[in-house]
Amino acid sequence: MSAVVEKLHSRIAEVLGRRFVTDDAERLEAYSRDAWSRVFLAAREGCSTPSPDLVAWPADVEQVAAIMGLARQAGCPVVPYGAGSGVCGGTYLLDGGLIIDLKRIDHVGTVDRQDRLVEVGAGALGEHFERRLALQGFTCGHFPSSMYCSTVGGWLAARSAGQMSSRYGKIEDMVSGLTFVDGTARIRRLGARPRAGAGPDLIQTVVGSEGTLGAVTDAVLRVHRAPAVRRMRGVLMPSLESGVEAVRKMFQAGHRPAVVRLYDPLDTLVNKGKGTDTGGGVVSFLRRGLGKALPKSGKGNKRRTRSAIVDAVLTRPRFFGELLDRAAGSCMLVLGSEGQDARLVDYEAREILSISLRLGGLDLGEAPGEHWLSHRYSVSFKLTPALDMGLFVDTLETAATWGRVLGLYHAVRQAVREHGFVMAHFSHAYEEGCSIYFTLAGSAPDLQGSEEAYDRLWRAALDAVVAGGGTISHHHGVGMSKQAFMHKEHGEGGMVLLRALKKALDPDGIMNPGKLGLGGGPELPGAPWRVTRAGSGRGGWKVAA
Amino acid sequence: MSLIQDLEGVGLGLSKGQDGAIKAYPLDAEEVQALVRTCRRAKEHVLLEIDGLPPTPLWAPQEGMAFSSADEETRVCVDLGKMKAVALDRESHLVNAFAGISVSDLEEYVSEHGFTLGLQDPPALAVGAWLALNEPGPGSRLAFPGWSPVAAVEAVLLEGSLIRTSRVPRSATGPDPKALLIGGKGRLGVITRVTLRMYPAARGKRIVMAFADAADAVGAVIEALGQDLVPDAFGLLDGGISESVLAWEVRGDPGRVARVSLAIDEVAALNGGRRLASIVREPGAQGEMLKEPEVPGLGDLGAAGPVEVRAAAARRAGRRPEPSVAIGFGARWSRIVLVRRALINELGGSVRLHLEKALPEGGMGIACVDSENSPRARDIIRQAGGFPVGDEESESWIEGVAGTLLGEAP
Repeated sequence: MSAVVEKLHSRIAEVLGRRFVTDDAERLEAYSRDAWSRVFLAAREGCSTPSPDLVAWPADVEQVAAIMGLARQAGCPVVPYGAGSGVCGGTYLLDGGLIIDLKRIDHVGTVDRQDRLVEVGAGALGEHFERRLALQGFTCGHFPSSMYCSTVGGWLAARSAGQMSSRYGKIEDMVSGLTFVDGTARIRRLGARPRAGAGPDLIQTVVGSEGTLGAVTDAVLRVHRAPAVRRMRGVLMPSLESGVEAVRKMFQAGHRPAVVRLYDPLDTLVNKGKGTDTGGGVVSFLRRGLGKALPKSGKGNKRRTRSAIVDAVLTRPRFFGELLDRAAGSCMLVLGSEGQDARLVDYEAREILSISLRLGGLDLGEAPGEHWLSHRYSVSFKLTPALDMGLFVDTLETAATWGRVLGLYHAVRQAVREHGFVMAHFSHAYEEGCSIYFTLAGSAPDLQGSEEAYDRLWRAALDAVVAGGGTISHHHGVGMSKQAFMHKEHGEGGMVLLRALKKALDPDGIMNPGKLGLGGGPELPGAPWRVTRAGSGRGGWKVAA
Repeated sequence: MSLIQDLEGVGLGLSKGQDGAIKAYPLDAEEVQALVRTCRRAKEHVLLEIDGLPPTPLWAPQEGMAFSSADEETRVCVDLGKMKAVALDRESHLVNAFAGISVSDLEEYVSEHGFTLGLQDPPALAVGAWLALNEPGPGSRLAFPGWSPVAAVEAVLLEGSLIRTSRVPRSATGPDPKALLIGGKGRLGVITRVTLRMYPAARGKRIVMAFADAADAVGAVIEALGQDLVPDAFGLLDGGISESVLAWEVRGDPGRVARVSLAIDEVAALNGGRRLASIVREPGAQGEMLKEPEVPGLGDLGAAGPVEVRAAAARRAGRRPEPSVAIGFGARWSRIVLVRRALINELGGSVRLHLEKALPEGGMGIACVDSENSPRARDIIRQAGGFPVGDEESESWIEGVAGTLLGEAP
């Protein structure tokens, strides 16, 4: 360990106590990656990823400010860390530095029943938070598929969306106030007040900043009484176009169903119309449909035993994609309404079903909706088997206005088909448009080939997204994985404004460098970046002021 | 060359005002961009003035100093009156408008096409300035999270570059640049075009209820919001010693309107309210929530508005009405009654509150007090847990970003 790191280690230990800061190699290793598929490829081959130099576990905002002050003095890069479930490489410390793990700041307060607000620590795990609310008769309404392995701070950092966002909003809609420590180690407390027509909304300049401006330590979130009534439904729509039209009509008529998920024909086929989420469907499909020769787990030499059929599919994605398209036809639409008043919930459920049926839908009853509800978190646990099979599987979530959404869908599929397997569902609907969630899969014989294929696929997909008028991310964030496209998303003026904000709050550039296209870091996807172990204990940090 | 010659050189329509200010009439964002860049390159301190906004300096602050006035300033007044074009996206329910059109004219335009912006009271202010000031804010439903009226913004930043935020429903691509521009009072840039959400103009129903006590009315609002009943428009007038009046309007799908109205009635009754009126609202109808001549008994309650209420109360007491001042404020629901009580205890019974917006966690509106009590009233509101509007922590934040922008070479 270098003298600089050692000194910082000692000084942090003075603030937190020795138990709460470490330079232990094994523990550092655990913080060397998040859940980004590209780096999983390297990990699968036994390659280590860059580790931080130190990990610290502060207990409150004052401790966070104190250790960030020390890091600033030392010129040490800092990354705030939740549960590591981000999928965009947002927590990598490319040149070493300090990880601030916020999981000790996990308090969940008593719900203010009149204002329906609750104070929660950034380190609270999603599931724990929701359980604590449920005990008080409330819900946050935020149910990302990473519910069991993500934190409130992570949700805020990445502008997360839950599966019921159509009713409850995205996380940025739920936050009424927050406390964060900026890059100068200053504690800032924002909001926690009703606001409309009262100056700029500073909270929205922090939410989504992915740790590049500071570390969020606490939030005041809006909560709802736990729903007393819920109605789930499945409808088989005759085509994707009719399904999209049905969803558009529902939202433009003022309905706000909690669940609206329209699976494209291929996704519907792969999941046999059960209304299950896609990532897991890919694996099941490849297992079921492409030969029992596939191994059930990833132990041992799985790639050598992979069946020729899978190779054939994944090396000719366009051919097989088009073949499957011919077999596919209808689209599964899963609907769910919930709330306090049965009269209103039943009315909404009847109306949205009626809209679907008028457009040619076939009512499948409650079963598909209930099936989705009981399997809604499964996807996060099914991607590992796909990796074990030698594939890479990833997801791209975009959004566009109604006038563009179908064109965008077709353009992305067309662009990706040269490089991999693709299917999608539509969810997170709004008055003016909705999100499309693509599942992408591909493979290559070795690590370098996989990384290059992965980047080619992503580059093609994001080029199509930008050309089609979509956003490069609806709710996963940008991190390192999409930063080459930030300029296309925001334009020169947008990047000038974001850089000015960064400089105002983090003048020394210590906060999560090399992310969000704000300077430094590889221009991914596309830059020839390989995972290499840089090792910890360097202390030769170079942060961009 | 003088600045005016430089500006003429980039093809801008100009005139010289009697007060010595240069008046510029850009036609689009590119011309605004040319204007800002030319002003920034000038060897003089230029103060940019957009109609309706406070003047914005275009020079970088000195080290360690906030933006101070220079000894000699050249004023450039930007008239966006030639930037009024509008385009509708009917499929996505969006309207794209240049910043020079007034919000009320824009509402009129979309209403001719069967839509509404959904604002409670569209102001005559230009839409760009309206967003830059973030006043008076949207109507109640649109002030709820997820219902923001603004889908996208185009602006020329003060260092001269053009920003066009994505016209997508939502994104997760870093901080939201719109959040710095809306309410930024022009300190970071000139808003040149906006994309607003619009809604099908639909019939609605306004229910007007009276409560013996303002606390009961607030209790009814808390209960209704707790049941996720969201008003499209809202008004709550503190009646002082007479009854308080709550107006709750819901619009849209007739079946939903009927059911929500029924639920509101039930909530009000449980909280001691009595219905004064149920009024059908035609598509596109606007206006203040509590100036409804059709509401029987409203005049008896003196519920024409907080200033009128105070005047009537003073007359009844045989006093001359004092000049009133309206202080914009917001407070969480749990604090509204405390704020009211504190104001009455400290300033006397002539204080009236008028809440104009119901948000999930609190209300916003005005506290109407004697003008001489205005500074004290702000302190009282703050001490009771409310937030006087304008009492924001945003100034230093925006100045920091502006300083960075203006520190860039033009």
